[in-house]
Amino acid sequence: MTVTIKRAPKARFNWGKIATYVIVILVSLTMLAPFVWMLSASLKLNRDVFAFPIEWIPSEPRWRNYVDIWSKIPLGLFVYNTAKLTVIVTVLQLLTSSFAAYAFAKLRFPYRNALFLAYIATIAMPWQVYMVPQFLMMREFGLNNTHLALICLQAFTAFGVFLMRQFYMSIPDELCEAARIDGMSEYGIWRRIMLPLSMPALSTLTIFTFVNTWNDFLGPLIYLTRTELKTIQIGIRMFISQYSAEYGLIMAASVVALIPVLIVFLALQRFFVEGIASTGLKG
Amino acid sequence: MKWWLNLYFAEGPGIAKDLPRATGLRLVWQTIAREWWNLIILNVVFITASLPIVTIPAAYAAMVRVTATMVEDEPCEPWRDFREAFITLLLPSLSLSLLCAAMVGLGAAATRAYAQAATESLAFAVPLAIAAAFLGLVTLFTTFAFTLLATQRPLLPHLLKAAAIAVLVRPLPVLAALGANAALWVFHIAAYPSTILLAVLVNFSFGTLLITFATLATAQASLAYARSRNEEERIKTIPPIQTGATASN
Amino acid sequence: MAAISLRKLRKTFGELTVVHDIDLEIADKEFIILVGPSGCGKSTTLRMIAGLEDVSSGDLIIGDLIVNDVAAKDRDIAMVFQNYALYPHMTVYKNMAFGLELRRAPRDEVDRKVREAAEILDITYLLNRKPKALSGGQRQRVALGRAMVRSPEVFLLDEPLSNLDAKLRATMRAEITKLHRSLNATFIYVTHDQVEAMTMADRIVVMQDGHIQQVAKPQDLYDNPVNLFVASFIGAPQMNFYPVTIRETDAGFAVDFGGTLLPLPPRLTPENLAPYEGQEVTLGLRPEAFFERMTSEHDPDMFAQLDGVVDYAEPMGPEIHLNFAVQGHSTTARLSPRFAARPGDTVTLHVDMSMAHLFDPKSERSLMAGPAA
Repeated sequence: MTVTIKRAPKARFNWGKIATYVIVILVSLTMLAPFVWMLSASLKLNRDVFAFPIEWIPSEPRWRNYVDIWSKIPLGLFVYNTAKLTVIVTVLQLLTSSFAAYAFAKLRFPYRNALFLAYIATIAMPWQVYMVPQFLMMREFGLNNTHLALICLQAFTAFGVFLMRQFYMSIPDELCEAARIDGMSEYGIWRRIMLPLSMPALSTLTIFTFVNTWNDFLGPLIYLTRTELKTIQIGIRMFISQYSAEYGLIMAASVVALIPVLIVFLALQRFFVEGIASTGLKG
Repeated sequence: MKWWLNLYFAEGPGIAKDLPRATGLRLVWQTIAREWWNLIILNVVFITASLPIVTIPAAYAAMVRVTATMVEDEPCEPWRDFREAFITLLLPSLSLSLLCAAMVGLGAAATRAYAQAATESLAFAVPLAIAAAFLGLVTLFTTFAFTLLATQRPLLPHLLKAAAIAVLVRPLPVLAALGANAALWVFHIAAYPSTILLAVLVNFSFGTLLITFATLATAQASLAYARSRNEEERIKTIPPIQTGATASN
Repeated sequence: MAAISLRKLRKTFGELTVVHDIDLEIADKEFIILVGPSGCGKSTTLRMIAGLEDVSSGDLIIGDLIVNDVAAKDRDIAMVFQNYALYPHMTVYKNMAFGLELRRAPRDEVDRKVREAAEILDITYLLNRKPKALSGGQRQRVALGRAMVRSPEVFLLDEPLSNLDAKLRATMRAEITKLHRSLNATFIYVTHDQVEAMTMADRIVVMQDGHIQQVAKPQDLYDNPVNLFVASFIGAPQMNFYPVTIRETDAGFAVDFGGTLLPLPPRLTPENLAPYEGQEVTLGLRPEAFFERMTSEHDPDMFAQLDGVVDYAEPMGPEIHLNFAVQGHSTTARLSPRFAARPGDTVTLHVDMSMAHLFDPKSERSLMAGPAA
């Protein structure tokens, strides 16, 4: 018996795929447009910013904007303040989150799950609900108009604990048990076994925290009123005076404020994307 | 994050037991692939230990000791091993460095003087060549001497004799390693300041690793030769001919 | 000295009791294997000895000390885990040295011990590698090495071979036995694989549902199981069971298997049997109690014939496992490979009743063991 072997027909031109790509590209362009507009506006004179139709590439780019922002307001100081707050808060959050997460994931103590649930439930409470009483409390402590107030408030995060705990849960318990038999204390296990193994989770948390703290507007707005304490996000508002707003300069300063976030994101994004995928969160 | 955990916990392919040891550049590459993290730590530790200037020779010798462990594929802990070597080698390496610095300085001064003279009269070309050769040999001698001091702690006469023999026996790999070091630094300076992290993180330790590669086997063989007393023992110490910078004992 | 006593040891998780008041004496330097189906409490028992689980009640004694409240690291034990639990970010050397370094042992001593252990286990060439690259067998050796370097009095091994392939498992069984002899320490080994238990143990502890069923030397366990569970758990292929009735005849007691009278061995004394006269009991016959024909070595008084319909035959190489039905009861016999039978054939086999076991169907205990204490 002979069998005639036929070649399976080649896939036809895939119109569905093309349509998908076109839609995705259009959506991306829409998302990118504000950024491009910001970039182009940062190179324009104030009066040209809102000219219509939009001149995407300015015919006479005004690079001076990027020089003027540093002299018109103390932008250098603001960048320093923001960087200081962001770095301290990020480091503290990494420490406290992974530390608490280790206990919730690997130690047995009474009411562990109930406590964890209660802690996680605080994520659902919007900050706007309790920010006024919190502010009053901080003022009582004499922490109004200090960076310490913001650091104290932001050093702990239920979300970070959740993220780290999910990661630690996936590390086999035997590793901790082997370490216990080897003679390590729980602190030792955390520091010498868990921390080195949790780089991806820590990177993800770093991005979340860094971006959030860097871009935070409401917190500094409430707690920091003195100019020398302000962060970049509220400092930029100084370009808006009672009668006018320097939109070209505002856009230039915004571009500058965006750079560190971009760097951190690009450096750690591989872990970040995986992190979102693994916790089932949508970014 | 499953992929990350799999990276750690998934079963590996296993390691063949009697795999022949790689030689030459392949061994260099394997060592770097395995020890890159330790090299970074080592570099930072070296820079820190070098800050008081006078400790530079000891720091260098300690770094040679650690990289030698890496080359020999022995377990190493850069921080701890470096500290131990640094303390034990503090004084010996300082004295050795003074000796070598004197010789290198002499060579450099002579070369410079004859070079200036040679521009006026071609007759000085011959002493210039001699002085330059001396400078080169003394530099090689220094690298071998430090490798010996760091890895073997021999008696001074043995050390000097062995380093001298080593220079004559196999200078080319060391020249190549020194050349690679020079290239690394030229690149750093040319691209400064964007390469500043490179210098902080890898330049010193990576360069030293190359030098250790080039010197270790030859230095040890020469030392065994220098230490042996009679002709018969000497013949035994001569290793079989190898190609490239091998570092097996 | 590292004799271990479990006295009325109990473990409960909330409402659930996993280990029921077990008593066990383990002699110094003994190789003892806890065996049982999954969920029988063997691993929990081991983990209590290790100090990874709290003891709910009872006493756990190592040497001459009650260690219920002693931390795992202070019990002078080492444990090998099923999934090896090597620290993935440390080299093999560091994995092995870690326990000693934490105990502040001097550098050269640590180095000597690690290299000694590596030498014994033949993993010196792996010392500077990370676990990532190692195969399962190599990881297993490293895990053993990590336990060895601390030279503990007691080794606890929790199903250490279950992740290895069959061939490697056989090799490692031999190596672990050898290791036990050379290390001079007490070994407590948990497995669900009765082959491992039979081949390696000095004594086997069979557990089920949190109770110890029997503690005995491997051969004793095989020859004299105290109850139905042990009889069916130990031995592959499994023991065959048949409902029979005890009858007293002129020649003494015998069992009536669907009309066929089968003799009983003298091991089963009239005192054992008299109370069951006329009652139904369970007859247990191992696959090797069946023969194609009797030879001169056999005692004809102890032999009987059984007819069966062949279901299928499994050639194993040196022998054949013949599955057939005797009066509707599925039976496996171990026969010589030359025995030819096709499915559907009726075969007549000789049974050596001197190997027979009888069990009380209610208490499930062997009639030889007498009534339950």
